[in-house]
Amino acid sequence: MNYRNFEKNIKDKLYNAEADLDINQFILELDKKKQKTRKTPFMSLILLAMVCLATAFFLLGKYSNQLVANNDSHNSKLAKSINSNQTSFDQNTHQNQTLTTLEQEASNTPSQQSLNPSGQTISTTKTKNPTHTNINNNALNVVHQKSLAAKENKSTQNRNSSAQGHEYNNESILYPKDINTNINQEGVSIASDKLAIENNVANALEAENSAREISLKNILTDLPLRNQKLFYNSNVNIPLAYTKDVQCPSFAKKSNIQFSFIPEVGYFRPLKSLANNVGENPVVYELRNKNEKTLEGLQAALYLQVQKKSSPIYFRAGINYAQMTEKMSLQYTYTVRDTSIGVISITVSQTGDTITTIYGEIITETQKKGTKIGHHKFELWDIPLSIGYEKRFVGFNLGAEIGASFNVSMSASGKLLENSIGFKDLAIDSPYKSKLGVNYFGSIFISKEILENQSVYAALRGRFIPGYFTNTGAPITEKYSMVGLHIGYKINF
Amino acid sequence: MSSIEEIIAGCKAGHHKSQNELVHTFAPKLLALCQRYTEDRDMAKDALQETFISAFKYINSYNGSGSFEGWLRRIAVNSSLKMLKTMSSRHFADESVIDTNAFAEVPDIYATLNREEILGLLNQLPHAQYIVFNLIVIEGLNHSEVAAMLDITESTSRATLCKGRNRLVEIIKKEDPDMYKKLNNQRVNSF
Repeated sequence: MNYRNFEKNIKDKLYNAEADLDINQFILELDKKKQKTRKTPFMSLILLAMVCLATAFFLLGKYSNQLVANNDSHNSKLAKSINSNQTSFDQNTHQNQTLTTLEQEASNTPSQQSLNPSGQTISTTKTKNPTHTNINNNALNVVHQKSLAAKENKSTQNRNSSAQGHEYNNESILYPKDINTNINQEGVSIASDKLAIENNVANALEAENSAREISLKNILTDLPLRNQKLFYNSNVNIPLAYTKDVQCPSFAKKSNIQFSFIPEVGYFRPLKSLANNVGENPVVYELRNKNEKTLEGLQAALYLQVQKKSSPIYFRAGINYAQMTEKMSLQYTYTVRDTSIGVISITVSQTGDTITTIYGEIITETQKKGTKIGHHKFELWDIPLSIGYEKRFVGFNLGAEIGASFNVSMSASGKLLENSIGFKDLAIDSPYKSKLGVNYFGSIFISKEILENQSVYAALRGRFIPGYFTNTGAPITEKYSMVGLHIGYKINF
Repeated sequence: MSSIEEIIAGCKAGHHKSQNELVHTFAPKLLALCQRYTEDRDMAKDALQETFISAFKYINSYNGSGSFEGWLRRIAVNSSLKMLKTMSSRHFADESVIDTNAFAEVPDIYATLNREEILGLLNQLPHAQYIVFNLIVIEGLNHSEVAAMLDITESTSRATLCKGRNRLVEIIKKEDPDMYKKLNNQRVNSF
């Protein structure tokens, strides 16, 4: 047997080979798998919905960040005010810079210590609050406090805040001036030897450091960072992320290009011009020119706008649908004449006389008069391309744009005046083109942002169509220009 | 039992009964096919499930121009190879080789081998050669189809087949034909 036959033998035996299989069991397994497969699109939809929700939350978060940023500008004013208070406080404490740290300690020791190595003054205040350590030190100038302590210290703070006119989003800030007041009013100064003070300072610093660590961790975990105000001195090695000037980074994709999706509707007034060509029955032209009335047009469009964020200039493209209707009111008058043939009547009288009477044609004229109304409608599909300029003002934007529109389809339907007494159906005989070619438009608009990344605008737009609507050689040529008011809803994404 | 045309029409209409009939008709053959390409029976059954799911999904694209069984077999081969690709990382060496044993003589006893014995013989081939051998010799695909299916070049497909054939002849030369003769006698006696 040669090798080729050997291969053929293999193929014959293997090609139609069958394997043992419990088919019913296999069908059950297959059905289960099919059900799983069917679930996949459903799961995909759920996943998609989750992604959409996440995006929505992200956008909402971005929006709230903007609000916070606005608050921050307000808070920076507060910070300045606080700094000025701190300055006065420093002066009151004989040029000693102040470190005030208010922390809730794990222990419930109802004591508050203030260490001032330069002034060698330790003030101890008993309060209902957890332990507070106030340290005056040339090297440190930090004020921060945990929110829990703030809640417990609420009454004091409210008093302090109202006294100074500072409202700070329920923030727990103990202003240096307040502390100064506390010290002056409640503190008891005692003298101590240098060694004791050094030990105290060392212990206090150690305690403060550990407290600060706990505090900063808690600040990060318990409270949004943007709601914390940490006042610090550059000598203090506090991580940058904990400082007051840090703004949370935005994780939004920073793109320099702004895309917008714009649905638009419009209402326009077509301005028609008819011209009579040689050979046309002028009656039809006169009638149309006199009695054909162009009704208001309606327009709907979808645009995609691209704009460099730093630039006021934008480019827009889309698809535009417009329709307009002509109403022809035809008042017709015509006379219908009926003519009867004459009849000769011969009458013989009793005297034998013959009287012949001839009746001539009997003409009956009936005047017909009435009004016929015929409509014909144009539908236009265009691809508009435009360039615009938008200037921002407070609360609104003003802009202008110009562009070209490429008509890709025009259809006419309805009835068009054919002669002085009747209409013809455009579906059977139409003098109109199927495409208009290029036309031009320009507009001025005013827009107002109603939501983040969403705005509405109203545009006054003029559109000039240089081409005739009618075919070459049509007895009556027809052109249009349009002026209208358009309202759009712009969604940035 | 419906004819194959009725089964296909029923499957196109989404009838569960027709789908079951299709499975009953083709599953054993296709499982044997899948087993040749996959590493074990479980993987072959998974590939077979994928085959039928794909067949039910795309049955409307079958226009009746070719053999329906051939269409199903192609799906089964693709499913098996896809499964094999995801389960193991095998690759095809891109090299050329000369088919030196195309006209070699094979002992006649090999004509009497049964399916398992043939598979035992073929399983001694390296995997890539085994796959290409199966696709070309048994399924009857051409090299361009195999190249597209395995994402290799046609020349690689040719080279791999040649190597497979050479290797098969070597295996046959090394094998003891008497062993098969004995087996054959045993089979005859058992009847």
